[in-house]
Amino acid sequence: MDVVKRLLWKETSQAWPWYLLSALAAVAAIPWMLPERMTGWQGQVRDYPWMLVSLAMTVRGALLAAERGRQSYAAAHFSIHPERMPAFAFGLNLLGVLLMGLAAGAWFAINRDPMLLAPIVFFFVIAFLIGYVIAAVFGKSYAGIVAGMPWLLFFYQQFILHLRTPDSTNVDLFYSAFEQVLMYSGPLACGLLAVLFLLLSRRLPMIVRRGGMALFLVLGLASSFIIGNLNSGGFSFNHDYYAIISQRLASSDGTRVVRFVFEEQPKPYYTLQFTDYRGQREARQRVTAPYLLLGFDGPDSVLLIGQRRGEGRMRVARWRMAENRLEPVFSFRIRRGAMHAGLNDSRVRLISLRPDGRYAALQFSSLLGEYTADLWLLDLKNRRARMVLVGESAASLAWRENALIAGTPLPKQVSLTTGKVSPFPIILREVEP
Amino acid sequence: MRRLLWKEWQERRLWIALWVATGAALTALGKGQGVCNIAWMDSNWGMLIPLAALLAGLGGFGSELHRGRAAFLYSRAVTWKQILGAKLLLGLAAIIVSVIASAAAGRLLLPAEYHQLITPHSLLSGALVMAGFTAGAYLLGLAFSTVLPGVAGGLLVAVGWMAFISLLPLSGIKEPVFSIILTLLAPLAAGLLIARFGVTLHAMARLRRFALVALAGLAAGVLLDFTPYAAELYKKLNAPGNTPAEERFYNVNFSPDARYASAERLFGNTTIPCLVRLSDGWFSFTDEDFSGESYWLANNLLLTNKRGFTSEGKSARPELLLRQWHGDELQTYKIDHSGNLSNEYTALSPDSRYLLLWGYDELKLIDLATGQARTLAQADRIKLRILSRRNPGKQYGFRQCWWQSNDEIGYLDPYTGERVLAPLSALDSLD
Repeated sequence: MDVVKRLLWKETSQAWPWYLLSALAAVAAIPWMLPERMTGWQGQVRDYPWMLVSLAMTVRGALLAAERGRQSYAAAHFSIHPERMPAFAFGLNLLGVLLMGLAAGAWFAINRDPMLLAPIVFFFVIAFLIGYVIAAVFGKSYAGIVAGMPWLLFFYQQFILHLRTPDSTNVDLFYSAFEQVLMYSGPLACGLLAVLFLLLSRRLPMIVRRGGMALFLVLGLASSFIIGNLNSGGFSFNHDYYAIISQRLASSDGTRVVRFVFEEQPKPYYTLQFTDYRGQREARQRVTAPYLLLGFDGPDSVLLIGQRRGEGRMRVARWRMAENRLEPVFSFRIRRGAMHAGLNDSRVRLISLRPDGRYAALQFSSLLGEYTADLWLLDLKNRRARMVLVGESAASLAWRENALIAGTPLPKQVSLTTGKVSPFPIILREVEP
Repeated sequence: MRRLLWKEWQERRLWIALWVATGAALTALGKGQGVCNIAWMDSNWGMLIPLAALLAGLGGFGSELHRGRAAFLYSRAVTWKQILGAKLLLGLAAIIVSVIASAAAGRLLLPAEYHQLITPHSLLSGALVMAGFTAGAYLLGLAFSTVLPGVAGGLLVAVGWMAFISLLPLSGIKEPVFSIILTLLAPLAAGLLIARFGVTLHAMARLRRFALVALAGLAAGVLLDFTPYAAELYKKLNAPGNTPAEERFYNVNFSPDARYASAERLFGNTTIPCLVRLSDGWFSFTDEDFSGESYWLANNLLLTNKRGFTSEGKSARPELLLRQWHGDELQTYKIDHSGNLSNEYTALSPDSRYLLLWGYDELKLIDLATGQARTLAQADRIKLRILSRRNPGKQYGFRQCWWQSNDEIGYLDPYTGERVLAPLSALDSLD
């Protein structure tokens, strides 16, 4: 008992600054989390304490693991089996992390949502384990911190997503619960495999051990993305099929409607259906590539854009109801998978056709930044496309005689002839109408 | 000096490599603040490159603080300025290399359509922004590194400091100017003072001095922020024209011809929805949330699905708001409904006099001249549900309505899906 007391004192005296600072950061985070979600930089600042808590936990785990040599030295001064020393230190620190996670989680559970308790505790423990596992292999705390960063970021992003969404069970509609568990457990399982590899391969040269560890870590991280991308559909997952989103395009008087119809037989597929209710005509086309409906460009024709995942071009096509044929208009160069990107976040996807059918505008999620989009202007008469806005997200598009208007936070107008972008100021004046 | 630089390089090359690699990799991925990434402010990845720079800085004085190495170093023919200069020079070199690596990665790895962004001007401005942020983070890291030994020691000080400043909002300052500036300057000053006078002191003495200077600076900032001068300065800095953020709008929803707009304007930390006539800037505040629930129809008709709560916290009766501009005059009509009407299913009569709205079990007609709404047809919900259960693959309810002519509407029968044509005069109101 005396040994346990002394060990306890030793661990506490070594680890107290970490727990104190982490607890401080966790408490500091509470005022930020309680108000409604804030905009701008304050929303960003609110995330930092959590980042710091997890970072502190990772560092503590890394230091603990890197101190294993010193643990065995210390074991000489305690009447305890040398092999049990690291296990004791690890167990005690894990318990500390668990308690801190429970304390922080309880705050949020009371104040916001009981569903948040589990992810908070889970997150704390994972952050600690990541630091420990990596540093145990590399044998140096700083290497553990560096190697742990991508893992930490991955968990941090997932975790913040949980916290930001009040209904935490509704975070990722695109994945089933099983798939979400797979996404979380993949990196963790690979980390544990990496430790096993380390334990089993003590006689192997250091370079092989580090290489094996790095391989497991990369596989662990990749597993989450692979599962996320495959959507458990296996390697034959049809990205094009799942990129088809249900759309409906109707003329203002409701007489002409184009929509995607999901059909189950002979196997799941989509049909594009063009109905003229006034003239009682109908045309159907089976669709295998993702299309977006641009708009009507005549009494019985509709413009569409489409791209298969592997293609580096976007195709503009016209579907004439009379001939029931998709005829190509032109195609333009665009990055691969532009149509498929941001599948879960359709807020940034906007399409608009000028009423005279001369120009069209497309907004897709951007490769630069998150929650941002690129705006393309299509000159359908001259068969030309150009990217006019990059890394901005408009909430709406509108047309004036010579300009495309984009509803970005600072609204902009794009010249239809030159593609030049200039501000479109909204000046508010309190005048009577 | 050359030897000092060599020492710094030997000690921190891994951190510098991490910094450069992070900058290049994130630019190639389009995340964070690369030299051709203009949208990094919205990204959580934006903190990664400064974080790498911070880590590189945190190793700055770490080695000198181990086991009296600082005393040994000062016993050689070097001054404190040279030691500090070597650390700063290494940071400067890392900034330059990371900016170049980031630009090269952007040019080589980003898709072709983004290459137009890489112009001399964008390179210069991107490089300045990236250099500014990373230099700030590196200098802060260097300042934190003067307190406790090792990278982990520096990190501990940084974590403590950041946890402390995250309490700043609790001080109740509404218009922070000095507290933000001094939050950054105070640790720099404390670090500089320790680098000059205190590297050979005991760790606890360094920690006390650092905390004293840094916290004194922060406290001074907080106190200065309560003076009227700070409020004046805040207003000056945030005056329209100085900060474009003042003119920001969210969910700007233009009418199809861009003559009107519904938008949420940012006032401080809150957004207030308003309707704007763009020709003269006349606007009207509203109490609806326009995000995702507002659609412009033809003829500048704005249809808003209003959702709200009663004073008891229950869902209020659903209401559609129809707004229409007649020249300069804005008219608002409220349309009560059973809950299944949406602003997506509408049909405007060819003469623009009437609007048809339909949902699962309801078909309504709105006279746009008077705003009067009447229910033209209703379906029995229970019957529709029974039919849906019996024939799971089939759809029931009002699915499509249209104008056959100015006086005649058509719709698909909610039970059978058959086409029904009905003259307006033959349809009685069910209200």
